[in-house]
Amino acid sequence: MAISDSRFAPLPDRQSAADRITTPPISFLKDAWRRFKANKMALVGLAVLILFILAAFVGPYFANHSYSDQSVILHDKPPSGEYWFGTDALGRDLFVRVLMGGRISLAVAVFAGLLQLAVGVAYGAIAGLRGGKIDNLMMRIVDIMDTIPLTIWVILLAVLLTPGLTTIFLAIGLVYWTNMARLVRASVLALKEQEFMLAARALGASRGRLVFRHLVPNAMAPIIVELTFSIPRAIFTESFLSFIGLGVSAPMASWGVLASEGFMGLRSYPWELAYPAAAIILTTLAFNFVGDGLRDALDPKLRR
Amino acid sequence: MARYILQRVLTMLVVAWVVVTVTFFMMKALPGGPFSSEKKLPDAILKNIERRYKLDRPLMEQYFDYLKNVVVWDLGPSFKYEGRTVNDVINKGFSVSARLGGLSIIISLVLGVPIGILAAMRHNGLIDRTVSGLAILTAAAPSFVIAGLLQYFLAFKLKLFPPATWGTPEHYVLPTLALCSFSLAWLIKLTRSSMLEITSQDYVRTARAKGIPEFWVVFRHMLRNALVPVIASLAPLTAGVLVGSFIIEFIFAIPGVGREFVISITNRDYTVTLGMSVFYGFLLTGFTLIGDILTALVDPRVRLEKEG
Repeated sequence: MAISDSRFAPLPDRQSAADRITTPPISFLKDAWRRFKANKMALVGLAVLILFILAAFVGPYFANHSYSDQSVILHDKPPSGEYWFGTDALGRDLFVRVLMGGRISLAVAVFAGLLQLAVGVAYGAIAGLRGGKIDNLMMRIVDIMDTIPLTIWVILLAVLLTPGLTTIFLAIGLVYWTNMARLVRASVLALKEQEFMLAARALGASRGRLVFRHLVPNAMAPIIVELTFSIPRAIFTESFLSFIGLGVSAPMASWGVLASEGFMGLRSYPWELAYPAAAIILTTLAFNFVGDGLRDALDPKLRR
Repeated sequence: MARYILQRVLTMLVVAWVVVTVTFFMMKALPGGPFSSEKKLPDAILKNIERRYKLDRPLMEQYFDYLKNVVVWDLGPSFKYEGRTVNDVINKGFSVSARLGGLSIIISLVLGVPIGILAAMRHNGLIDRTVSGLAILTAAAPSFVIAGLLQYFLAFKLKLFPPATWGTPEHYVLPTLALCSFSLAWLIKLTRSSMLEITSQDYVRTARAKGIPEFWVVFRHMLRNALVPVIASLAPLTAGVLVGSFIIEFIFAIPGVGREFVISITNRDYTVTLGMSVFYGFLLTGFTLIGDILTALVDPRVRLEKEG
């Protein structure tokens, strides 16, 4: 019986397929994103953060009420269809105020984070790279700062400078870099003995190039992770400062200011504390989850 | 060991000196003098007052005077209220704050360490998940939010405890709970992760392989090493409780030093704010020193590394 040629097909080339034992090449970022995606809590955290940032920066344009319009008749109204989060003691719409407060709280956190990034990374890199006496002296200074709670330094700075938005992020940024400095120093100490550093040195790279082209990019993973954990700390400190009267001034309000205002009428109008407090808690949790996810995604070795 | 302790004592003296110096120069850097108010005093009177408080002397002389005063524990007067000194404020409120803070630290330790161990022993079990979840949630809430929740539900709604002020043992409950919430959550997380890390160590496997009952493996073999980070965290723990007490004492109207500190900030009573910062600085250097020595006693690796 004859079988027509059309019924035959060549077998797949098993041999060359078997030679390719690697997965298709993917970049480091793609790989990190794949690991990050696997962590559900981190994804939820990221979604919450994006939602909050959008709500804070775009939301107020779509709102029917202004964050600063007062109304004596409409004070302390409970949440309703008209006022989603109710109104505060001066009859201002709490929903819009929480959105606007988010702008300030998030901005404080991000600016303070960036300032701390700049100071902490430079400080840690110099200490780690120079080593010896300079390193010792620089780290003793960090030890001295750390012995007194950073919050007290922030309070002192905030008392000294005139209260306001700039003061808050200056005070937080100028003090909260010690963790970052320790971390960058440790990474630099570990990295600087490696061969690629020797190669860079042998090729005559300047010290600045060594730090910014070779050391910092390699230490980026822990730096980013530390940044995500330091942002909620900054939000906490900001709310703390607002609570003891060192916060931003009216009619602006951060979540901390709103919470401390809400605290005054807690017995009768609990929602005035509940909404800003919920915003702080959710943001803190979201940053923590994203931080955990990033730590696992960027540095699989650290995975627990 | 003696050398290590001496080293730590010297470091802490330097820290204390830095704190005093920084606060002194901060005080001097404040805009306007302590007596410049809206109602302008005649120059002659201002000069007189300044002479009384030695503010007309050269800066360095004032600085050494201040150092001397701090050494004999005189933290200076209030420039806002007459007849009131930083020492008064501290003497009046310290016993209350110490009781509240001490109780919070003890509760965090007595509850936090065992709960952390339990969670680690039941890793990924129901208890572990519940406890870890609660700890993460609690640590994400600022202390005044916890205080608000406790006041609203336990004091206003259920009327179980007085909402504020100080006096009977019932008055202790809410502020202590609010104050220890963060340190408790933190200690649970710390103990848990430290126990989990040790579970995978070789010597623990050896102990199990020898057939030692699980109870003794945990308490005789793992605990000593697992507690090292816990003891090392005693100083930051105290610092956290101390900073937390500012707000908690303020919210619950407790006549302690923390409340006075916040009031001095809101009243712009700068000398009291700074004087009390010096006091807090000393208190914390003391605790850090004790913590360091305890850590070195428990963990020989620490003192060997630092001495070498």
